[in-house]
Amino acid sequence: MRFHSRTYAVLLALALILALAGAVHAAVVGISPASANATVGDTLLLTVGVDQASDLGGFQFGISYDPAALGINTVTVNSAFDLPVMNQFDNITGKGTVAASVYSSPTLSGTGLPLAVISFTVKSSGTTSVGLANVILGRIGGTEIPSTSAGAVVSAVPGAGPPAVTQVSPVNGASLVPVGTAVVASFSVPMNSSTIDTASFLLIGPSGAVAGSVVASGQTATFTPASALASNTTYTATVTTAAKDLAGGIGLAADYTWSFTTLLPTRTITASAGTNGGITPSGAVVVSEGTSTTFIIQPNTGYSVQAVMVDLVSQGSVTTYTFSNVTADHTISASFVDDIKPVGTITINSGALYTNNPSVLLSLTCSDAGSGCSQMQLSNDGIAWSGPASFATGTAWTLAAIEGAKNVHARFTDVDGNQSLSVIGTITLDMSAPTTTLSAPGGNYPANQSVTLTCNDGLGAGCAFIRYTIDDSDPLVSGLTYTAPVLISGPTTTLKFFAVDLAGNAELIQTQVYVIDANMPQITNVAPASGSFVNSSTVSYTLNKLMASGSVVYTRMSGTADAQSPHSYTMILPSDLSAGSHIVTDPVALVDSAVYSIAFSATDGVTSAPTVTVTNITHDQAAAGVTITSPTSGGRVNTPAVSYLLSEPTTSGRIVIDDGSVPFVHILSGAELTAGAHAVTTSAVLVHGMTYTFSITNVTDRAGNASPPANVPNVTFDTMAVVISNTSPVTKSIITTPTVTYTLSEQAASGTVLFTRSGGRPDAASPHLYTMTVSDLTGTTHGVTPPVTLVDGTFYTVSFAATDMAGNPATTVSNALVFFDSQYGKGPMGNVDNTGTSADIVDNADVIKLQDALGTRPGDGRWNPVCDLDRNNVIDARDLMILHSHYGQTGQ
Amino acid sequence: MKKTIYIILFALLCVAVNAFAGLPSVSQMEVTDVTPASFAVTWVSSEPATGALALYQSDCVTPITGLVSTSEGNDTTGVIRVTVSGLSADAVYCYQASTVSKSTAEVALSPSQPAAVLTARMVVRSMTTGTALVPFGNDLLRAPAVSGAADGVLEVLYLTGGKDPVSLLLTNDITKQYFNMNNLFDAATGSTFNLTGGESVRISERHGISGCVIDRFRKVPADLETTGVRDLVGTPRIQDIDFNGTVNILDVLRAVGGAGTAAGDVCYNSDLDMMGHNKVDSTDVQSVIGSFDAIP
Repeated sequence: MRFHSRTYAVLLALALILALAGAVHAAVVGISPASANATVGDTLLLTVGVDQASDLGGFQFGISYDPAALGINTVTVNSAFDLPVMNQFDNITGKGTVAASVYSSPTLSGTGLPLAVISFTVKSSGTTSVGLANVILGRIGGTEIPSTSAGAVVSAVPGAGPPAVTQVSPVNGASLVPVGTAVVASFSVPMNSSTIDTASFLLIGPSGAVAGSVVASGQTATFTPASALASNTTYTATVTTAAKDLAGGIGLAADYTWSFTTLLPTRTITASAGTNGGITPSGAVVVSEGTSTTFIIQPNTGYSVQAVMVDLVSQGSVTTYTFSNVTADHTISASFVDDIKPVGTITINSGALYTNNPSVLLSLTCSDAGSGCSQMQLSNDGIAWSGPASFATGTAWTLAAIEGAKNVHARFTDVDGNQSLSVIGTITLDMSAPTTTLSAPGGNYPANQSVTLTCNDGLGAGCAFIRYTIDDSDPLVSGLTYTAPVLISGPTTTLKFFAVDLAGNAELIQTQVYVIDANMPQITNVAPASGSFVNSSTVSYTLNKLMASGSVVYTRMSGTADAQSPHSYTMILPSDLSAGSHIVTDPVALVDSAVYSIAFSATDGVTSAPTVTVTNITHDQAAAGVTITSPTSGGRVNTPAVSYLLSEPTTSGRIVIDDGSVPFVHILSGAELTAGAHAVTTSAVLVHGMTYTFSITNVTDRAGNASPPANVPNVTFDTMAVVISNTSPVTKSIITTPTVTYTLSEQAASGTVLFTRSGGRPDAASPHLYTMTVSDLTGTTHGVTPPVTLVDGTFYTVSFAATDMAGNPATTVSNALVFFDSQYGKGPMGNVDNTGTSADIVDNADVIKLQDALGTRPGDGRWNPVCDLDRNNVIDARDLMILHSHYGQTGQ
Repeated sequence: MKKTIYIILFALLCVAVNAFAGLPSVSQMEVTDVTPASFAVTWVSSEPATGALALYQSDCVTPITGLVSTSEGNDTTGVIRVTVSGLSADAVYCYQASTVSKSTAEVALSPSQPAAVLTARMVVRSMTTGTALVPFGNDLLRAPAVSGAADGVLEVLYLTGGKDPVSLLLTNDITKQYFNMNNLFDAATGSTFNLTGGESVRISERHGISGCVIDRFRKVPADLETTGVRDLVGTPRIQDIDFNGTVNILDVLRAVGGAGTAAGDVCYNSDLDMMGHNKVDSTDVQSVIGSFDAIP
């Protein structure tokens, strides 16, 4: 404690030194000049500036002054501060606020930096002060610059010149001035009120002087007409030299005169609004004749316009209404209705993510700017709702007592019955305490231990912290929060700990006692490790001293039954029990696919070493099954890809592609080694036409069992596609059946013929697809009549496609404008309409049909190749002449 | 002549190499989480680096060995935190951090001479109600969401009256993104700080090599002595960025300082995004100015 106090004293002294150092370098904000002399009526400029500034980014200050003595005209901020923030002052209260920042400009440093120049009018004589308040200087980012500030003193003497009129209302030349307006004159200095009356302050209209009264006080005089002024009339106001100042009795240097014009004749529009909204302007609104006036109807938040009535006629729920060219008085009224749903929120246990208690506290909000929130309902599932209850900002609620994510639904109703949408609060209910595991349990150890504490909360909220003590004290009271492994030292240490999860569930306090004894026996470095796969019973371990006896016990945990379990091996003295490392090779016979624990025990004859147990050791003597599914023996491929199946997870393996000279090798890795089906595209560069053997070799499972290689020989690499040629029907041909012919350059694996309508008569069944059969795919010329039904008078594109045995697709051949006419070629030349009664005769029906296609060429909409009798790809007069030359002929 | 040219070229090459691969530069070094048995030192390296602490007795000369030291940090972000435990309460220790560049293996020592740390005096737990193990009200306070990826970001929480700040080294595990206020001790008494609610905190969010440091201002929630992680309370008036009850020039300067950033940038501070448009620009600055409080 003494040391603690001394240290804190040193730290305090250091802080004071730093504070003093900071004070020395604090910026100073002041007013220049600090002491100013002025004359009443003068303009006085005072500069607020800063000394010893560094990286100044912005400033603010408040200014205070006596408004009877001074009045601010303007405040001009240093233009280096290119972001105006606030510049306002009130000459009634004598206060102002100025603030500005840099934005695009650089920051400022140095001494004598001006912040702002304030222009005052000196209003009265005497001494007065100008003060600064709440001065803050700052840097970009918001760091404050320490500063001090000081104000200024102003001494003013009376002025010597005559008073002057400084401001008038209405202003000179004003128009549309309301007829009830008073006329006001402001003076540069306080005036003697006794010198300002209706003789020295005149208002002259068309009929002469206007009757009225004058009131003068300080620096202001007001002429109030005895009655309303006339409409649309120009008046002239005058203050004469008889008006004198208060200080010296000096009159104006000359009469001061100004004029203004009043409003046009007026009409009154009476505007009113019901509750929950307003209309602007409202009341008796006086407007000049011939003008227009717009009214804005504004419902309160939460309400809508119900109706707007103009001269008792509804205008609907409009939000604006304009009276145009007003020539008479009117009325306008608005009413409002609450038709907006309230909105609300729900929070469970102040927004906690987890809770360990089904009883929770709900925090609710509901807002409804209309009639106001009235009731609420709650639910655990959004289906079964509680009865309506008065809205409250907080209420107790009980969750369904099953651990997991929980929703609580809430909905709200306003006074007018509008119901909100349902809102949902969520929380996870976790009532199970976490558990803590140790890297080394309590017991006897030959050396100090670094103990790792690990908290496990299962499927719960997750661990929050672990508290522990190592002095046998109660961790509830003095426990430290676990952050790093705990050092356990001898001779005896009691470790107490407990974990708490994020839902607040706390584990019962656990206690472990450690005795550190350098001479106690110990077994370390045991193998295999927990979770291993092995194909023998070989084990290894290290003893720290010569032991008297020991054993290794294999006990089946799961997997294949083992009637001989447990298997026990007794360590042999001295070969297995001397100090140092040992390997015992296959001491017992284990069962394939059985899972074992292995316990290592030893004693020096006095004290037993802590038994070391490894678990989940799987004894596996069967190698993984390996099958290549693609390519197949004798097959053809066009990529260096291999598909294969592994019967169990493996640790190594390779794909070999061998042409008999230098094999290509792909080492399997990562996901390629897992159990199941795989497809791997290797980077092998293969040669078209060459034959290869695809193999998977060197496969080893987790227990080290090697699998025999899987081989697929005689695989031909083929990258050359099959070629389709000699196709018919050819482009622009006329066909009477769907018969096609084609030649394939090699055996194909698949192929199709596709008839796709491209014009002519409709064909709802288009496209027509024919899939080539096995006999259609050989590498020769084929003639096939696909079983498809084409439509007479329809144009088709006939497309041929095929893919070879290695998967290489042929270039598709497409023949366009193939015309199908099942009756084509029957009857005499010119018998283009060879159907029905004119099937066998060249008659007028043929003429009409040819004329319908006259002037067309292939591809035109009306093109009909049957009518192109001279086969010159145009249907013209020559075709018509040919038809006429055969007109009337009959026969097949 | 040719030899001279080679010497000059070699010298220039040395200068160039040195310009790109010098000592790692250390900044933002701070002692945090000082408890009766442990303390942490956090800092930021100018390049990917690993860190370690050398510990000395109160004379800052005699080394101490055998204590448990845990180094944390994302290798790529430059943020490093080393925690030393197994210390004695109310005692002075000295430390000096070493920062080892992952690219050049050069080592920077910071500070230049070992600096002193006073461990906290004692842990005091008090519960006003009940006899159960919990609650320990306000033990865990959820950290505000950070800008960009959380992994490797260091958050340091300052509380007026706290002996030392509390740090939180974030990972992508969202269930661990809270401050452990058990590590906060009273500057006046050296004992556990009793948080009752309403205390103002500043959270400094450090993004490592990028150099970005983002301040967020919150208050501690009322201590309901409930359990579980609790949320810090944000300002009800967003323009009052530093949550001091007044919108003044310092709030404007904070917004100006953040202008030009956008969501996704590590330097983007959502507290400055007045318009909620995932960026900070002149409209946000104008929003703060629009709420500026005149001086009474």
